[in-house]
Amino acid sequence: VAATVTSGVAALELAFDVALALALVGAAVVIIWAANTFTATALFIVFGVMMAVAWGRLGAVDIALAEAAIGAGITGALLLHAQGAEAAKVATRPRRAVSLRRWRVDAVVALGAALVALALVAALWTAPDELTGLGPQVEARSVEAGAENPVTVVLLNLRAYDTLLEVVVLVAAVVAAWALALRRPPAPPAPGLLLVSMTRLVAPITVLIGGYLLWRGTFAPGGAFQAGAVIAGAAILGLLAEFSPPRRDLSRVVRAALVVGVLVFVIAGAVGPLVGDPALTYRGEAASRWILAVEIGATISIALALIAVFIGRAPSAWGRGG
Amino acid sequence: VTLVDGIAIVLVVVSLGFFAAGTVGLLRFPDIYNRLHAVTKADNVGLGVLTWALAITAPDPLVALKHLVIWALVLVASTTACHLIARTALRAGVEPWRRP
Repeated sequence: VAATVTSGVAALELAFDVALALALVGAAVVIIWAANTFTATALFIVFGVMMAVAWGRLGAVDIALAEAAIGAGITGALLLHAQGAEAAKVATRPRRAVSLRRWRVDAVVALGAALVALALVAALWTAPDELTGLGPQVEARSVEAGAENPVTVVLLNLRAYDTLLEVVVLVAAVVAAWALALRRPPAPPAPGLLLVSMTRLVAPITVLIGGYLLWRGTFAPGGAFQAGAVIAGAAILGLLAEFSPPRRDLSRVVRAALVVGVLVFVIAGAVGPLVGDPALTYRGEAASRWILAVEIGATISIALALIAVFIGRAPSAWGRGG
Repeated sequence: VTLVDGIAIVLVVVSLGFFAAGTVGLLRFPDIYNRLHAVTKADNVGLGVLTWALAITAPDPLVALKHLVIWALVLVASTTACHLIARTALRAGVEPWRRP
């Protein structure tokens, strides 16, 4: 009986995975061909949630959390927000016919995507049956590297320069958003009592969950990116419920907090060369402390960067009516 | 299969019924207000029953409590989302469906 149940469960899981994969491809196709940007955006959020489930099925819980918080949550909010600004513009401007140049661009993008897909299929096809990856090597070094969660070991120690550059990219994105100085979207309708009271209830819990994800990151799935995105989500909820920021000039505080992650990271990276190690390496007892310091700094900067991109204007204007 | 497992299986099957009903309502009901009603009511009950199935089979009470907290948060969030969508539709002039 046990064998029958096991094979039955395996068949069910396979059916679920195949359905999920088909739904992902289907959603991607519909997003590309959607008649309007609202449909595309709504489906993009659904796509993000399904993608998070897919990463969960693959056992990559860290990526599942990041995909749910950043891919579906924050990106979805950003796209919907941009739509509010775009809708006003599009309504006053006749829609341009699809030009020949646009078709050429589409063709190049399609060709590139097809080649990448082909290369991935070829890589899977020629891969050996037993794939171990770099997991065992990372596990072996996790004590020396200062974290129990292998993903944290890779992100904040073994390949810390990748993560450092990602935090820098986020700061650059904020600078670009401020430089573009997007026109202020038309004021959304008043949030209403229910949204305001929900925000009062949920936003503090959300910040708590962000802190929990940050603290958890050293020994279980979680970390700076997930924590930062969740905290930013709480702030965006507050902005939508029209809790306005303090009416003081926040420029200095905001700018300092935006770069604190990069700053802590660079300081942590400079410690290695002082004791004769390469840059961005830390080991032994100090490693876990440096990892925690970098995670806290990065969480602050990531959260603020995502909030800043959502607001879309330089912080000198934040105090004046949201 | 223990008694607790048996209860959990029954709860999961019941929750599937609610999810199926909510999905059919979403696909078949005539206007946005009816569809919202189907999805937010049926799916939230379905999720609740499913959460109880997970909670009673959870390895320790703290995990069970986390499952129930997740359900409570989803209840609050989906209630608010439902209200916002319905209010926006009403203000945009979407007429509620009436039996012809």
